[in-house]
Amino acid sequence: MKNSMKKKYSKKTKEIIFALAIVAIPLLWWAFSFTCQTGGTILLAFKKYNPLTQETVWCGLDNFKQVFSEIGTSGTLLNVSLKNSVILWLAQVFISIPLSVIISFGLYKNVYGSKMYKVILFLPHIISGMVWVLIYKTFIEYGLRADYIINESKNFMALYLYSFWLGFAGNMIMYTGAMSRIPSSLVEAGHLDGMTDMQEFWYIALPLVYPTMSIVLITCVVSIFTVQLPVHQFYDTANSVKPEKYHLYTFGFYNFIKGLGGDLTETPIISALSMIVCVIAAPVSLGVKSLLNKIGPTVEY
Amino acid sequence: MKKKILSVALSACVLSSVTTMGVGCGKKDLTEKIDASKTQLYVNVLECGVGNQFLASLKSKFESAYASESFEEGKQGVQLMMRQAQVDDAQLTSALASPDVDIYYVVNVDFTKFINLTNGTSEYFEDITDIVVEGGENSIHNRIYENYRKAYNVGTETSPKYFVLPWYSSYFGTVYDVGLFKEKHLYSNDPQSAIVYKGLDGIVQTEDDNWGPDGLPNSFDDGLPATWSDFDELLAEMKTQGITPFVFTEYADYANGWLGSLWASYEGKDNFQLSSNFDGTYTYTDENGQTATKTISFDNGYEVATQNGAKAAVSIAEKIIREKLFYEESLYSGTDHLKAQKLYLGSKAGLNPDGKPIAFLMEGSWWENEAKDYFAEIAARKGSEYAYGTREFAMLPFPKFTESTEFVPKQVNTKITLKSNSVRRYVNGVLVNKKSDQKDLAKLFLKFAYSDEMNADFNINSGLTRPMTYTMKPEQLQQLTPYQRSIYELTQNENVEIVTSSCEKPVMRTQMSLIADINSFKSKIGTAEKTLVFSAFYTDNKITKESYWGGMLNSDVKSRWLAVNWNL
Repeated sequence: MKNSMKKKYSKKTKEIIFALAIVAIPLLWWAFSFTCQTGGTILLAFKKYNPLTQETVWCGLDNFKQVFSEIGTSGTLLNVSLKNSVILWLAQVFISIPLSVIISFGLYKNVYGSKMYKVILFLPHIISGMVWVLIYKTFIEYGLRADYIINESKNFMALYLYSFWLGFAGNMIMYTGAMSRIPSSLVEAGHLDGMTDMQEFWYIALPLVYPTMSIVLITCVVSIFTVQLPVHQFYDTANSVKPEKYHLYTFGFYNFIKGLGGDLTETPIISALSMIVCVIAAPVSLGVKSLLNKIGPTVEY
Repeated sequence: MKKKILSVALSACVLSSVTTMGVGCGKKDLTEKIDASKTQLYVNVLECGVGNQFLASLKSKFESAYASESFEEGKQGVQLMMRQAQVDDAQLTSALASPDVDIYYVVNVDFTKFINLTNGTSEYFEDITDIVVEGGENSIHNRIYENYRKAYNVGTETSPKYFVLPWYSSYFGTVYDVGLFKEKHLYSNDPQSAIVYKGLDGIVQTEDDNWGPDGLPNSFDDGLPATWSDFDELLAEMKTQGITPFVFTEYADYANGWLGSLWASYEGKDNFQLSSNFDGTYTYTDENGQTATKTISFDNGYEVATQNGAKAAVSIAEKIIREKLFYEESLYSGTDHLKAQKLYLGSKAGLNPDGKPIAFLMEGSWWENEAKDYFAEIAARKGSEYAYGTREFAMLPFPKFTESTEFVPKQVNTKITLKSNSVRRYVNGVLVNKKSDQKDLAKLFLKFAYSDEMNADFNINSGLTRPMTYTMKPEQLQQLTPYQRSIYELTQNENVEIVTSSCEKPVMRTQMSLIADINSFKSKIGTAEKTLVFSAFYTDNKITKESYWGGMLNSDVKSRWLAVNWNL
């Protein structure tokens, strides 16, 4: 019997069956939930809920019109969310990414104390985010005795700096990883020709990590629609929905907070917004990818 | 062989990940084994400030009362299986899809999601009207307070329909440290007190000087400030003695809840109730200091948002911040309700960095029960005089605005008005799962739990009141802490009226965020919108009570209100 089994299936087939058995249940679960969620979102985007009769009725494109109208009206939550999302995207592209690359280069070059900096910068990825929120709040309120967390004119920046600091390690892992793969022969040859560290960064490191940077830049485009400041972590649910926090909203946080309560009068609107985002994000991401491929250096190493 | 072991291990991992999906489902009780000779009734109680001690007490009494009765063939007696899982608004739908739990005690649930208000049916909740109306004059329906009845009864007054019963009533207000008041001679009728009040008549050395805000001699509030002018005298004495007046939190609207209670206290029941029905007459003091009236309907319902009571609350908030009458950490973002309780309890024990005692806590009436663990912790560190039930606290009735000032007109209401928790949308309650296998037994349990005796038992074991008429015997009152006793006695006092925010008309449910904004202190100052009144004054020195109030008049509540068709 055993022999017949062995003959019936080759070693490779058995390995494939084994691998499939491992991933089958998660895949089925993903397919089920993806189909239900996406299907439900599409249907909901064309419906409205009446809380008195508990009925959902077809409403055509009303939800889409409402989303566009709110985005276009100054001061509305969606309008503010769009502005903040773009600001965070610009900050990511022009501040976070360049700084990450520069600091990663410093770590790659083993500047004085680089090992200590690595530990400090990677700590946020080892310890729970909520712990860091508490540490950050305590540092500002009990240490600095400052009102940066509750003052509306200051808390956008305070939350951005927190997100920037926390997101730093993720970027650095990628860039230092890419830089560690730079052929040492290339660097040595440059040094023999009298290359300075600045020239090494500009002419060797930067072009060679460009593929990694371009991937980050492409994901950044999508992040316009998903990025959020840690508003919910810093403030409780009830305070997160207060008008005082509206200036901290982004598209990602808007969707999160509106979907949080499962309020049937709100979910059709976020369903319509999700569909709009999907239709815009897909071609824009592909466009950016194509553009980056055209303008960037082509390197292989 | 190694591969086989590896494959078995990996398969086990996959299977375990699948089986963990089932955790949390099924009839599970974490504390008790099933007694097969009895019928099991599964009750889930949400973990919150109410605790579960009341259910443990109810369990033993219910099981004893029906020990000899049979609810299933071959079984005798009932076994109440207690569960404590966080089932909130979002989770209730999926929880009710299975018959696993027969009864749910829930908080912050929008019941209108589960009940069709137009035809009074529910796919999720069992209709419990029969046990609620049973008993004629003494029925549960008749014993529930009127304003709660309007919220929980989805039928009419003559033909009631119930799916949910209110779990508890709570009152937001000012907790004051009776022990501290005695020790520091802060009662004006204390012979050693340096405080001199004028009382409601505003004249010093008259008989009502020490009668408190109810204006009656020998009552619960004697020696307490009757007016805000008297309150200033108390504050001056506190400053002399190095006492911090207030600690509070803006977490989850606690501070605004306190301001809402102040608003209700200023306006009184009839005026405040206008935000629940938008149908009646608003009686107020006009700019000439004369009593005037105005008809409120859905046509001008937005005007309720700017009642004089809101103005009075804004002025007190400004005073507390500008005169630094609060413990600084109150407005730190990390200060939630539990932290505020700790700061308050720890202050008298010298556990706060500044070492100063704090006189008042802005809290709901559940706070003492919620802080039980911290009471025990302080008692262990500092001595049994700090234990739960040993320290004396009570609810401070709000002083009155008896004289018009440039900003706040004098109040018309002369009664003590307590504002209980809102029953507009996200409310507390107990319900029977429509899919339950033991519906009759579950209803019998509810009938038992809402009897006069068990209402008193609930009060003893949770420290919270039921929003129903019931009487506690003297020996039962002795089992309450001084604070709980003060709340119970306030609710039973004929000079005290209770109000709440509710939705008395179904059309209000189509505009819930707008209705909520009526009592939200929403203000538009420049381009910024504010609702957290204390924070607004704290973070911006330029904001005054006048500018905040101007922002309330200028908020979008009016334009949004007028855009709604209320004749649906």
